[in-house]
Amino acid sequence: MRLGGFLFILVLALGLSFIPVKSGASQDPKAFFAARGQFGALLFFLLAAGETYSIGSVLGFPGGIAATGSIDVALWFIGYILLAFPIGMLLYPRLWQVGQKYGAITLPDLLGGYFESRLVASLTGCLLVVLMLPLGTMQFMGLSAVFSQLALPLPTCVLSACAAVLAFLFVASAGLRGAAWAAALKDISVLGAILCVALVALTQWSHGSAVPLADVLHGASTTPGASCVMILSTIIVQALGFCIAPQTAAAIFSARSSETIRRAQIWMPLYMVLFPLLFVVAAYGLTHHA
Amino acid sequence: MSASSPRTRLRFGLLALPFGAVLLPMPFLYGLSFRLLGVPVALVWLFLCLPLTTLCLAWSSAPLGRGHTQ
Repeated sequence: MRLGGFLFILVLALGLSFIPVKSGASQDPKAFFAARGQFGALLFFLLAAGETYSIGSVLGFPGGIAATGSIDVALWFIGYILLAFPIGMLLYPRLWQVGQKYGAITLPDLLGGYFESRLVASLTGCLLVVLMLPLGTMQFMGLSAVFSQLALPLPTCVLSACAAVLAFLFVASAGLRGAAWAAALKDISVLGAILCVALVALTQWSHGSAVPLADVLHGASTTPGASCVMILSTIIVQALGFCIAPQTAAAIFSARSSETIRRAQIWMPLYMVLFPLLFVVAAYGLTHHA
Repeated sequence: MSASSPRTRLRFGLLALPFGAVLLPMPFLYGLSFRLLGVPVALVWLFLCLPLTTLCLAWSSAPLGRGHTQ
């Protein structure tokens, strides 16, 4: 059953990636990397949300709360993503406008054009690849957790290698437009799954051996001053860094206009409604673990 | 639109509001022992900041939507 659902989503994502484009299925670099800058607010929103809320958010947030029994991780996790959106509201339209000026379709293109140097563009490209490695590692850690639940008769490293090859083939064949459609499928699946699990957790709360949430979820730590400094500094630094993360910035150049980016950015915080739902799941895990 | 026009100041103010709402009360709320349905009040406040931020972003972009050209 689990495997069937997993394969169904996989095949559906591959099918969506082959949805033909409106005007001639051109695969020039601008179409491949930036979908010719044709994305309206909805597709741009779906793509940006897909890049923002990865497997690390969906599994890491409730997992972090359940593992530590502390609200610290929840505070900085929600805080930095939330405050990245006002920064993005200012930064992304400007980046888009500068990108238009230099005909950029990627972040290295933009910096290379601005400094009129291919060396800067190449170095930026290499740097972004290196910066993506920790994120990629986290995705594979999350994938390993998913594979372990599927209980397939193959080692996790083999399954991860297959996933990497499949992801490469998917991106290489479909480009950014395919990624946007896959992101739409992911958003619907993830939101639906989290909503269902959270509702089941709420309706089943009184069953089983529940302990009071206040007993297992700690508030302020024993060193509240140091913890508060850690939380606030993490929120500020991460919110700034989040806006220029390679996977986030990649979507900017696919937008039709800077106004499209603003319109999509408005709705991004509301997508975070999944975090209260994920908190319900984590709280259920904490109070019903016995 | 000049950098110091009232419209720009309002826009920046609205974008700064979520920062104030999240960061300023945090040291106070974090130390409170008060809970709502077992959830620490600092976390409840952060959840309330989600729709607040959306409203701020919507209001901040509204003036740009009128008579603003690329």
